[in-house]
Amino acid sequence: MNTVALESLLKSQAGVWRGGERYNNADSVSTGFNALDAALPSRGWANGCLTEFMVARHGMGEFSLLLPALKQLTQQNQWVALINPPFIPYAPALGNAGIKLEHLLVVNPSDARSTLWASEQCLRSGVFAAVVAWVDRSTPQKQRRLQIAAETGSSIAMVYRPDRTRNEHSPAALRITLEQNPSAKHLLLNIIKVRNGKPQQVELGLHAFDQPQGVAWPGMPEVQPTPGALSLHDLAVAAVIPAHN
Amino acid sequence: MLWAALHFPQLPLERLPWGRADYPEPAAIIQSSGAKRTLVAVNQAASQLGLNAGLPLKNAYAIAPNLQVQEFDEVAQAEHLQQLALWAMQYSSWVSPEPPDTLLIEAEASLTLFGGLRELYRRWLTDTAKQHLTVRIGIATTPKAAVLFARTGQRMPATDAHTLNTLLNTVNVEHLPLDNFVFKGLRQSGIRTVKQLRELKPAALTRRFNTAVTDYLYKLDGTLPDPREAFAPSDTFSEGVDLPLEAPDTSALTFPLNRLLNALGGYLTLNDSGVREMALLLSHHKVADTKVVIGFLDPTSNHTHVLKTATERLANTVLPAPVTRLTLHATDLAPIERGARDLFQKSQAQAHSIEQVIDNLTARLGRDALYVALPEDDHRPEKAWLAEVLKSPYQTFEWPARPLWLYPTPELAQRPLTLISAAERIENGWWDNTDVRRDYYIASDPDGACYWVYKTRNTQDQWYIHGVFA
Repeated sequence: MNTVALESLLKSQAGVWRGGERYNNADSVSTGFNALDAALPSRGWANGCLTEFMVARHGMGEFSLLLPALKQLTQQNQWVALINPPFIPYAPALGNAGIKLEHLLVVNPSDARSTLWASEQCLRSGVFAAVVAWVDRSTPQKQRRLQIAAETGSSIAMVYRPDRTRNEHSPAALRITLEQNPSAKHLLLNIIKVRNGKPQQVELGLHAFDQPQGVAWPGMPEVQPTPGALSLHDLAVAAVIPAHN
Repeated sequence: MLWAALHFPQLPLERLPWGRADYPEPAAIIQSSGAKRTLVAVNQAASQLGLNAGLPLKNAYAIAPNLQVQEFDEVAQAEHLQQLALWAMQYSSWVSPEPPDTLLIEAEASLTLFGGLRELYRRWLTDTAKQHLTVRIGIATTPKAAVLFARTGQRMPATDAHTLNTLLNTVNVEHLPLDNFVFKGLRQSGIRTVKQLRELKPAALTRRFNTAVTDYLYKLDGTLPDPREAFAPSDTFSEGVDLPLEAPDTSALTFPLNRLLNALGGYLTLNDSGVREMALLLSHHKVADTKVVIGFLDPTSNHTHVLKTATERLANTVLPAPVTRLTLHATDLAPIERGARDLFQKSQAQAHSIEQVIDNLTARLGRDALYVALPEDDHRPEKAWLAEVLKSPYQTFEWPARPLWLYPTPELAQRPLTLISAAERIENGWWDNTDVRRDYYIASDPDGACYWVYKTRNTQDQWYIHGVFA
């Protein structure tokens, strides 16, 4: 019997415990949000798993979602890599979020191919506790390589992909689409695929600008009356509270 | 010291696919001297027909009209011997090629590692059989005796002086690599064995045949030292095989490829490294070379794996013309980890360090592609972002609300935005000519995305987006 057949037979037997699986029972890092932890069978972002986030646009807290986990990892002096971030990761904001910046490597590959390559290298190396990559173009085969690389290096792989890929097939262990609840300014996580778990929706009270990027806004009154649906053009005329630092 | 001589009597033939025992057609290698052409090696099919080395080609054609012949190529054989030397480097760091067809390997230092002479002997036999090479191995305490035993087919190892002397005495003088002039003289004196030769007085021998014979005899039994230079492989691996029978398609390349990979295997073992990238260069007649680059995720020295990968890649390669030469360049070698592995370790990941990963990434992506973002103690947004690779720990600051994503250059706002915070004035920098006086706000667009926007004092009605609260 060849090894592949043997492997699959052993895997199909629930009663078989194997020494090698000790590391397979993925230890995980809490997401920092109780509601989300509860919805995930691994109770957090799992090691050796590929997680895909499908995001329509920037600016709704899609990256803030990861900050508590990244904070925890970097504070433990573990390395985290950001690969092909859409903009410049702004150090003061990351610092405010409690991330140890000297354990955060930013990689800016020039094209989609290099992005996947760099992600795979970082995941496989086993050096990075988590690798966050922004991947515009990929295929199920390439995502599968990332998944395997994550398993090999037992690292947390998080990949941001465009919203249009939400209906594509993917070998990722966890797939979440991110939307914003416009009225409540909450982040809506739609878990569309999760290994050993149930697809479900999670709503997080995550204001992109105050959690945790905003420590304190100088000169901000105790209670800030939202200036209505005031457009910028109006504001150019409307008096704005002058502020000093 | 214990020397093993690996003698490859069929080497001229065995660099061609003809040399394989299962090749059905008779084939031979010929050597021309003037108009006279003689067979120097014949394959199994030819020898079954009664052909043997030394036969004139005319006579050979009379026996086997379908005989395939190829001219002996001294340069190609020297190249082959060097590749065999590379292959042998995995058994000993002291390998010395003995042209035209013998390798000398210092074995004493390798005995413990390989579990004894018998085991080493067995490995040489199986390894050469895999390469379809005929080999005769002679083992003796001096290099000259080892070579002599290999060429005469003396398989008993002479591991001590007594055995060496006993075995040497039985050798016929005809087998010694001496001049014809010497042979003639010995025949006339009735000297047939080395024993008889050694019983002569050295002074008399020298007088008659000059010092060459006595020197040889002294080196044969170890009276005189016979230092051998160890074969030193170059720093890079680049080896080639000429294909006298042009390969019409890539499937015919497996045979020469295998030979190159055997040499590569020895080279990798010697350097304790694996190959991460290699290039196969296929040369053609009159057409530009075809280059096939094969990369491996992890450095590997596994012969089967490399051969399989390379064969697959070659199978997918379209040849513009038949291949006349195959060259293998190992373009990227990396240290490989062998041996002990944790019993419970599931992952095959190599223990890399962050430096290794960064080297690896920088090599392909360039230095500017990697950085560690650290804020500087300066309030202006452009200065606060500082690309610094691997700086020492920095001082933590408490910043007011800042966006996670900063635009490389601020953009003019295109959509109506709603301000959702009060202003933060950032005003400094006049002293270094980058005067910044801006009022920053948090604003959201109709979809609810939050931006970091500002207006300047001079341009009151123009709003710029400088970052995104992601």
